Amino acid sequence: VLAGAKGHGNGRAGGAESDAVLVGRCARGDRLAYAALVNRHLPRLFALSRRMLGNEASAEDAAQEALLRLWTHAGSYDPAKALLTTWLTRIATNVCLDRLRKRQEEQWDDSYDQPLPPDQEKTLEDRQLAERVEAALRRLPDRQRMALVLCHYENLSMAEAAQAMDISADAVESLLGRARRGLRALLASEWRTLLADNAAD
Amino acid sequence: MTSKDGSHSLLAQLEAVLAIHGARAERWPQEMRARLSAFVEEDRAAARLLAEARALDRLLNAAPDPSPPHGLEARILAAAFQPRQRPVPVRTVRAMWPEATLLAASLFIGIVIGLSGTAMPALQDVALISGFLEADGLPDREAL
Repeated sequence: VLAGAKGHGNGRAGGAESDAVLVGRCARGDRLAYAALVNRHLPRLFALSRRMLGNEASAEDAAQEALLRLWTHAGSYDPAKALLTTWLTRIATNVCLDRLRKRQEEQWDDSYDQPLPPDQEKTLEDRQLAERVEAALRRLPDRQRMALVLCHYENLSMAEAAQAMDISADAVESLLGRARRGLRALLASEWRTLLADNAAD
Repeated sequence: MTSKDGSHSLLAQLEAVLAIHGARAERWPQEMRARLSAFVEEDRAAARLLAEARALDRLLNAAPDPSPPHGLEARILAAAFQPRQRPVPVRTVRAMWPEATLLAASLFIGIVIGLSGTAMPALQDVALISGFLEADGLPDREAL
């Protein structure tokens, strides 16, 4: 089951069972189906949580909480209303926003500044650039960062992001506009350098 | 060619679209996509704005892609399969019809009996036996 279900999305490729079928089995207490769904959706939910919450431990907790809700509330998922990806994104978004609300005093821990694992090792210059981008993202207000994470990194449409954040599409547009303008200002020297490099090429 | 005023207006639209949606044209609103793409081809300032937005998108993509730590998946499964974490059975409205019908019927029968007064003599008998009523139907002051 796990091998067949590997990968993102709805998992219909390669003979893997669709999310909807697996959730149906999950609702009947099928542990293998649940394990397949966790395997399929954990990477994306963890990445989303990590980008939102900024540290490893909080992101683990948030991804776990979202996926536990899948186990305990699989019966309330209606495939006719939303893709499982959207449903889970909405849960994870709410979990992250709740945690940010409750823990305003939480500091971004140092794990973000640790070197990347060897398989992702980049040049020192690239790593330093990545760290500056991370730092700029961290400085954005929570909801602006969430809108950017959902639309840029998760590639959600405006309507899907609005559904996940439980706000209007206009509100998401406003948050995104402010987020990008903020990043443009925070990373001005970086993007100007990139532009100059491109011009020189 | 675009007139000067039209060019300013399109430039403002492009700036707003880039600020919200980024440099990937496929994410721009469909009704503006063709017009703005053509404008970028013919206007230097527009091309410059797009290049800046592309640079910002590249920076965003430079941020690391976090992957879950080893063992997290197993921990989630272990937490889920603890006895206290059981799937909550979801009861649809349709599934609750038998109980709802029974409750509604009980309510109806109760109202009918109450209005018809058939329950009163029986209740009075109980009160009499318990000593709360005198034989004349008035409350027993001593019992109270």
